[in-house]
Amino acid sequence: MNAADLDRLARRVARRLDRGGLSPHQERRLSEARGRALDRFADGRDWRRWWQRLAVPALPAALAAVLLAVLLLPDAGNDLPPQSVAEAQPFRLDYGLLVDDLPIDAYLDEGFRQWLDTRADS
Amino acid sequence: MAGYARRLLILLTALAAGASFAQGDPPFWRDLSPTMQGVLGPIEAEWAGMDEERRLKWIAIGQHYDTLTPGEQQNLLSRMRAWVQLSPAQRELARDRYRQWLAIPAEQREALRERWQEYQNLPPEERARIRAGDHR
Repeated sequence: MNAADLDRLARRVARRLDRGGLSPHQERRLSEARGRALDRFADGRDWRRWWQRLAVPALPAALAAVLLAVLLLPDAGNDLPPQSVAEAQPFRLDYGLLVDDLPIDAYLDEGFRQWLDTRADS
Repeated sequence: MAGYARRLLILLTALAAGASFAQGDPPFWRDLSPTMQGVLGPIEAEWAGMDEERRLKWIAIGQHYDTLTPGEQQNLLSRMRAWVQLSPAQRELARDRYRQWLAIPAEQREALRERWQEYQNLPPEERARIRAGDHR
């Protein structure tokens, strides 16, 4: 991608951001991308070197390309509760517990477990 | 020059918008949007006592609110407060058992949902007796 293409891409991103109306999921992914960019930015100790790097015209355009990719890439299903143990990461575990059909009490009620054991034995 | 300024403006806008999520800068309740405050309203009283990681987790959950079905939204709103009021040990126990729940086949999960409803239909005193270990 040449400089002109990058410039057009940056304009598209700016127009898209100006228009607003992003879904909550897109906003979250955009925030995460921004957070990662901030982390990388904060990691540099030589601010002058960072400023010089930022001054390279291709860098803002590259960031714009990343932001556009975040907006346009298909959803990988991260907004769903886990469907298997392998998917059960901490955030998704809590999310699943909070929205699942079975209430949290069902997991914590010792009487329910004892009652199930009794039924299984009978 | 104008092209450079425009690109730099895009970058700075993105950085500024993400600043509230930067590490070391916990999101305060007053910083949340009115919509997010509405979704997370049930846990407002507990917000001040949460560390940054937990606050960000709840924001992430709140950002998914619009993608939930009405039933799931109702579940979320009705369980948030109870969840944050559980002890860390209780939350970890629930997570462990939820992992076990995820490991069983779907048809067994459905059967367990039905058993839970049956258990809920027992008289409260009988459930109390079962919890006390009396299986008569």
